[in-house]
Amino acid sequence: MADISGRIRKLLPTRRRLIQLYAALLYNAHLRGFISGNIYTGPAKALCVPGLNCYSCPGATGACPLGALQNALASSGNRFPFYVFGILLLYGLILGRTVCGFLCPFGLIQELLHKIPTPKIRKNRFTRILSWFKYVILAVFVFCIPLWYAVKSLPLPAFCKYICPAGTLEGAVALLANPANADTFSMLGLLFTRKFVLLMLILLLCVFLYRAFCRFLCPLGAIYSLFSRLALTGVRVEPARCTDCGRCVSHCQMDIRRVGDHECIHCGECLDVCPEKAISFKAGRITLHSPEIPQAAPGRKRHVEAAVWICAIVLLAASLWLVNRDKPGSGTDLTAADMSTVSVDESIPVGWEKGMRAPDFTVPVYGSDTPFTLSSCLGQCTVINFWATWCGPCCEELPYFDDIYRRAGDRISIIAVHSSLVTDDVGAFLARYDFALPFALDTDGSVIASFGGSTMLPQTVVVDASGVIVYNAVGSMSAEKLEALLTEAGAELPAE
Amino acid sequence: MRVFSRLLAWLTAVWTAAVLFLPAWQCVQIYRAGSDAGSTPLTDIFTRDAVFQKLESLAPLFYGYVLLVIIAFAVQALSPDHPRPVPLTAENRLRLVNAQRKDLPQEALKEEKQRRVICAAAGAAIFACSVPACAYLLNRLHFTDPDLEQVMGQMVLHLMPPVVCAFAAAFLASLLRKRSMERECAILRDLPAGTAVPVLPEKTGHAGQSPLVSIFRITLLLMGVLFIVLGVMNGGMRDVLVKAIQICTECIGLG
Repeated sequence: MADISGRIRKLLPTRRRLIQLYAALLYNAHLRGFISGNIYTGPAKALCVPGLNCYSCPGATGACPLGALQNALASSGNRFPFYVFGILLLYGLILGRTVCGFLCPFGLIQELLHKIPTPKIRKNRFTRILSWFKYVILAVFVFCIPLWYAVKSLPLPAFCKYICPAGTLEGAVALLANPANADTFSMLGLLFTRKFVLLMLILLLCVFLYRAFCRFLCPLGAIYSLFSRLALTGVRVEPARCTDCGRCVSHCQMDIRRVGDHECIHCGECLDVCPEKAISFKAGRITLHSPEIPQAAPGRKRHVEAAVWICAIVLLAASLWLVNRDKPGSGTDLTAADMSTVSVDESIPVGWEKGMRAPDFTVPVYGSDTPFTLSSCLGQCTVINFWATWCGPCCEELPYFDDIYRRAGDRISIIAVHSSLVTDDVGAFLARYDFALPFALDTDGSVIASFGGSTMLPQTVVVDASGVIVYNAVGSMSAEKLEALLTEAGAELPAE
Repeated sequence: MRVFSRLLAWLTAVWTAAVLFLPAWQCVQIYRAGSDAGSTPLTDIFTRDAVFQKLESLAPLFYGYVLLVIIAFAVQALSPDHPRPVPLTAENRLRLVNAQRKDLPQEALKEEKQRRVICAAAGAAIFACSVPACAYLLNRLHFTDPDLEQVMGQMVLHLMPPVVCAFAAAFLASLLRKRSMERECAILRDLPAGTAVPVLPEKTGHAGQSPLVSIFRITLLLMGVLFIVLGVMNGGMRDVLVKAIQICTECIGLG
């Protein structure tokens, strides 16, 4: 009987597991996003969560610290990234790698995968040496590449783009799994193929190697490990009691040399292994958990613990309610472009989908007193490109539109409309390049809303001579694709 | 039961590899089929129908895997617990053996000297490997090409050899150190026991309550708060919000 109850107790989630699940749910409280296929766009996203959680996940309610860091470094030419550095400094000093052990959703996924009953690869000298590779990833992909491309004003979050499995799993797979995002499949290409293969490889490794991504690849863990000697929270060894028997190190599945070093994720699994009960979990001078403190702690301690759990549940419930409540709708009155000079089928409804008449709009143009009005372009094909200075793929494809404009600007109208979310001086950005293409600003976001209101950039709309939309999709554009679209819309392009 | 449990574990391992490898393979196949010579710039490489068709073909494999994992968990839960003894590391064994001696014999000192030489040599090798890597990374001209695929490809080609060599040097040094420590352990065990000395535990990974460290910590904490305030004032917080409320298509592989 005792044996059976012991086995059942082993199957129950530990306190650490409950905290991990709680953190994962708190970071991804926007549950309606999984149903609607849209991401949360509320003000809470200005806050970075401590763990690795992609902000393109439909459920994400906060920003990813690693993604925010790379984007901040990419914009460091305009402003020093004080905010992100400050956040990471605070998390590192207060929590350190306790974040990895308790507050990282991707760490939780790795641990759950490792539970699958297969033969396991134990840590050894090879894995210990390999654990330094994450610092190479940090230096090259998180710092070096974004900084170099910041000089060119091209935002490039290199780790997110080429490696991050959390983005592929929580962002791409979660979005693509929703039928509402069926059109998004057209955006997939080589980049997704590579990232998906890498994701599968990492997940496979996690089944056989404990926290393989954490140990060998995670740059966020590398950042927090820099605070290993300073962090307030974590496991501590009492030197007076420690006999240096090494059981804690042998028992630990991370590549530690000693408890509390830069590889320690402060999970606390070593607390019960120490024969001298020399290890405890502390926050500053306060002992949060120690093998010497009886589990059934009487009175005050139990009340404090209950109060903490109640506060946590209230916080979670409040977050769930705040981020999932209905927002007042922002309807956009769509008016058709003025058709007085062009014959058009007025039975075609106005809208943003292919085959509908494009809604008219007027936007101010950079460097010109004359605004751009869609209706004035009737009679010729029009290309509208929605972009932003903080969007890397947008900046990469601007030369293609500029090239078309230079070759056929007299017979095709092209306008690049910047998102209403302006973070840099767009005029100063444009001054660095020799674009002939006209650039405009969607001052209040109504233009992009009238063309579908997507939360993804870049977005390209091609309108034929009669004002009917022939293409409206998000995703990067290549020169060949743009030419093919214009040919399909009936435009005549001169040879290069 | 134990043999059955191990066989089941190996079967689960193979099936896990198949369940994760096959979707990746199918993804590659879809990409290759979609981007072959017959496709036009307007052809979608991936479509929802094509992807789900491939996934449907893998469905029996996946359902079988779920069943297998459930069975494996049940067998694991019912099997008697035989925790394998976890061996101590060579460093720990040496430290424990050393603790029982007051003076180390010449052979043991020679091994310690050899380990220091190995560490120095490995350090030099790693430094030598890091020089060309750093030289490549710190040269801005390598990161000016707008073709990012080309830039990344060249970077991997140039960085991989020195990084691999550095890690190989570190691993070799670690192996040699382990052998040296094992030799020293054997030497010390063969000799008669000396006077026991109190074991001095190695310093823990934490800096403890030293007043200087506390001051440094408080300074960094205040700096963190100040940085956040400055970041809010200079628009850094807004930058984070703007980027987070738009789907970063390239971050999630859509592109």
